[in-house]
Amino acid sequence: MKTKNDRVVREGLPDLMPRLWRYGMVLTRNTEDAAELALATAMRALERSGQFQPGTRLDRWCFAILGSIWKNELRSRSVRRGEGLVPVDEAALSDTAPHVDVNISAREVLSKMMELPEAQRETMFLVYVEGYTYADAAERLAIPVGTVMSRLANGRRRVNEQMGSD
Amino acid sequence: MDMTPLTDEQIVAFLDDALPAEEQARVALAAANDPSVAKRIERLAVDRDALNAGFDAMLAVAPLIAVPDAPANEPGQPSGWRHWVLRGSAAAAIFAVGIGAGLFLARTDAPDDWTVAVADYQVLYATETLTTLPLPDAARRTSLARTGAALGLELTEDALAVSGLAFQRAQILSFNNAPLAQLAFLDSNGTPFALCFRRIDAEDSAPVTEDLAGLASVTWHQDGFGFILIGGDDAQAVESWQKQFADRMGT
Repeated sequence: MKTKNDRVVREGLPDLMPRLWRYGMVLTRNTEDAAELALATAMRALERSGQFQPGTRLDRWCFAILGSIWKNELRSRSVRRGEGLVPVDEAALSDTAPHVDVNISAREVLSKMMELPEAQRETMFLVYVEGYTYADAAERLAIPVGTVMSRLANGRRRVNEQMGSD
Repeated sequence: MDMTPLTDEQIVAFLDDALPAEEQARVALAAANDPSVAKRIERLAVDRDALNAGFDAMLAVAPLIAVPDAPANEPGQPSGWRHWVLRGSAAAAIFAVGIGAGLFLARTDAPDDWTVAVADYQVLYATETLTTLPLPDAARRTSLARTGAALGLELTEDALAVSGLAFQRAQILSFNNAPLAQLAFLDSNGTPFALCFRRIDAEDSAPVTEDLAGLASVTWHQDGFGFILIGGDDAQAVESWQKQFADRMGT
């Protein structure tokens, strides 16, 4: 069983890496930390491939691992470094907010969302970008659905207020 | 009919089509009949298409991160990624592959000549590319220091103070899995220019002026680096800036 699951996880991971990195960017706002988080997630997923339920979504399973590594292991380190609570890493964002084939409003809304507090931007990312339902997001974040809704409302209000403000 | 006032949460759930049908209809009705509700909807609106376009594009610039081949848990080894990361190799490997390298690495038709790759990239730059998200001073200096460090050069804004070109930001691109520095400038007309360089095992060479992808460019080798200065269509201006940069980069 372990072998079969291991193969499913191993074969699915390469295509997931860009999305894991992107989720890492939403949490860390730093390109290198995001890459480290994505790599740590891949390794943890391989270690625990025996726990993956075939037929369920590998992406969601990996996202849960990533969220847990961030919350329990890496975030505290970033905060200790004094990097977890600073405004967006502007240099990293400029590397990341793509400049070639994206229109200006896309860049602006992306950068405004990335300036939100972590809880709001993570919830908005899961629901609006990765397509989680409110209930899925609540389960993933271990919070009530009402909290998901208030994070979305607060996040949307702030992005909306900030658009065009500078 | 439920007359309790609508919360922002309900309005957002309505916009996300996440309410039960009956409530969905109630908010729609309120929005149509009550200007204050319509106004609140406006205040909570976010351009989802733009948001998705922005995040889609992030995938295109994701660094290539190889999934490790080795079994994650070998007896007697510290477990998993911690061991991997602690060795320091992971961060270095990722860095060498290149932050923001996806643009080049994803291309199947990437040119062999790095200066052509730079020209193909630079031709997409508009004034707005650099002015839409201007970096605060500290972040601009950080971007420069980081980029320099990736190439093994100590870069400061003083060294880039060339008359007629204003430094905007630095970033690390990648060519053939090796870091490539890109320093972006605007001239007084808002024309974008780039000074790019990478480590090259070659003797110093005299500057060569040529038209690349319709842009004026000067390429040269100096102190183990290949340089290109590119932008606009005024070859004389580019040659004059090249001389100034070459003087300042010389040690």
